[in-house]
Amino acid sequence: MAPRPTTPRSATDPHEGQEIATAGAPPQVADAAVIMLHGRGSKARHVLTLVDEFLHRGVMYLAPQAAGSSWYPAPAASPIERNEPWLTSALGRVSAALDIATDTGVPPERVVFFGFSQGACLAAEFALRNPRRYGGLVALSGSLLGPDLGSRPAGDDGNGDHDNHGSDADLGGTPVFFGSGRDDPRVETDRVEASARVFAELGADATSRLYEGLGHAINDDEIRVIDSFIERLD
Amino acid sequence: MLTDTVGIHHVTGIVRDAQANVDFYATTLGLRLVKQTVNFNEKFTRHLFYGDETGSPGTALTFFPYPAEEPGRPGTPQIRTVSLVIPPDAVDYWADRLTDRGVEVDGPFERFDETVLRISDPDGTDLELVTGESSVEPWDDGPVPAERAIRGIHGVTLHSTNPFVTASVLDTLGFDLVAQEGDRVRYRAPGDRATVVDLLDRDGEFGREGAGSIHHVAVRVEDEAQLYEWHDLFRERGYDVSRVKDRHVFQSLYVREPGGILFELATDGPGLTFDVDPETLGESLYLPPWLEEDREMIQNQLRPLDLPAGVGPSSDGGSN
Repeated sequence: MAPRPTTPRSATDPHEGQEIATAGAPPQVADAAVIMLHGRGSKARHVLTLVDEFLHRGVMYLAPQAAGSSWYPAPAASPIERNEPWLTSALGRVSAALDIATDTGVPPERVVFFGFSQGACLAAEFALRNPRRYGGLVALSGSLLGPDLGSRPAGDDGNGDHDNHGSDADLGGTPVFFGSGRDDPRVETDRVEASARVFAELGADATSRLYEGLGHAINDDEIRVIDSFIERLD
Repeated sequence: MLTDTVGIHHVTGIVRDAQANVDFYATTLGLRLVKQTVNFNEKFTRHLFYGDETGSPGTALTFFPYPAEEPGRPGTPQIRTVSLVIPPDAVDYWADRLTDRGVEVDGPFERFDETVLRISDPDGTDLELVTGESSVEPWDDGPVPAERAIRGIHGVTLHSTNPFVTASVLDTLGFDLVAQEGDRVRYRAPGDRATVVDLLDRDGEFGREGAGSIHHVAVRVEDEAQLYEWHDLFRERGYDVSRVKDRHVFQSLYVREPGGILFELATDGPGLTFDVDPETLGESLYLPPWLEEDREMIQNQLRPLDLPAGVGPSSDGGSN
């Protein structure tokens, strides 16, 4: 079934008003959070079915939903402006999820970002554009966006406007993991590795891992990485 | 290209006492204990596998023993019964053997031209021994003479909260409606073993999962590529489907259908013998690589298990 296009509430903010699904600990007792970003054609409630595999006490799981199940229209290597205004709107939803966490008393350094496919690209873009120490970033089957990954300083929005955060911003040792199938038909592996390098250069504890025969999917090793990132917050 | 499942791959139950489980399934029923491992997601819980000589698809019963588990309560939605195939002339043998060993036997009675003996395992899991044909070779080194021995799984009986939806899932998987007797509707897959799923079209109180409950039934899928196709198909239909998981002896995914029954879809390969000598199956605790470094701690946490005669390092192996 093709994702059904929904009528955006706003031409400039197409994901505005989409739900943010939750699972795990209720806000009153949460002391850590995982923001889970689904891939193209998927849904927030689908990505939440993964929660069982890295469920920890006191952790709240937040999954924003993309309008029409797609965060942005163009492939990852396209010029970034081709994905506007969807991308900026999508980043706004990630920001809204982070606000829910911080409003309940969970600081960003206790928030892990997890994304698969388009959601991985979105999670990586969010962390790069809003650099600071986070609980972690796990980007599976995705990379940073834009045609040239090598020249992306932290805080950069990829549109040649480098002055919004300054290039001395730093990820402060945030654990970052990029995982992908070497045979993934939708992801270029050199972009995956380049994305990890960008984060490493900006002060993250970044690694990438490529798997034989995985295709465009998530494997048990990657699930254990997420689990270990959340476990570190205990 | 998706192909229909040819039948049941394995059935998994929840029990309390691992030792009673081994004594019943290996010693009394004469199945081979083909693997001892732990729940990969819960490393201090054992996971025991029984089956034919190699635990091949269509023969495997597996159990999670949780020592402190409360007894389950039969009801909906549940897999109410797992049935095992015995040779048509072995009914008296089994009635006598079980009675001699203190197992209460209900029957024999006739159903769908088959003879059925009803029993319960020590945790109250409902089982049936059903006469029939099967391509499964009996394990000939167990405590039961090969000509009487169990020949794999016959099928399961499902008590869904919504038989119509559950029936449509069975239909999707490749099971066909073949017969009805009262409120029992029989579906059959096209394979040569473990092909029967009976659906109870009757109301029932809600049950509770616990010791004596059957947790899930797995059906057979050819390979991992097909698992991903099934994954996409169920997701497109809005079902609650898990990702594809590596269980080492097979790859699988889980679907909780809207009638409440948990189905697993599991690949035939690589199988229980992929990394061990078939003669030593079940002798020692298998751990996945990421738990291997904790082996000592895990083994110390698990209650010790007396293996049945013929299994274990002191055994002379001897299977041919």
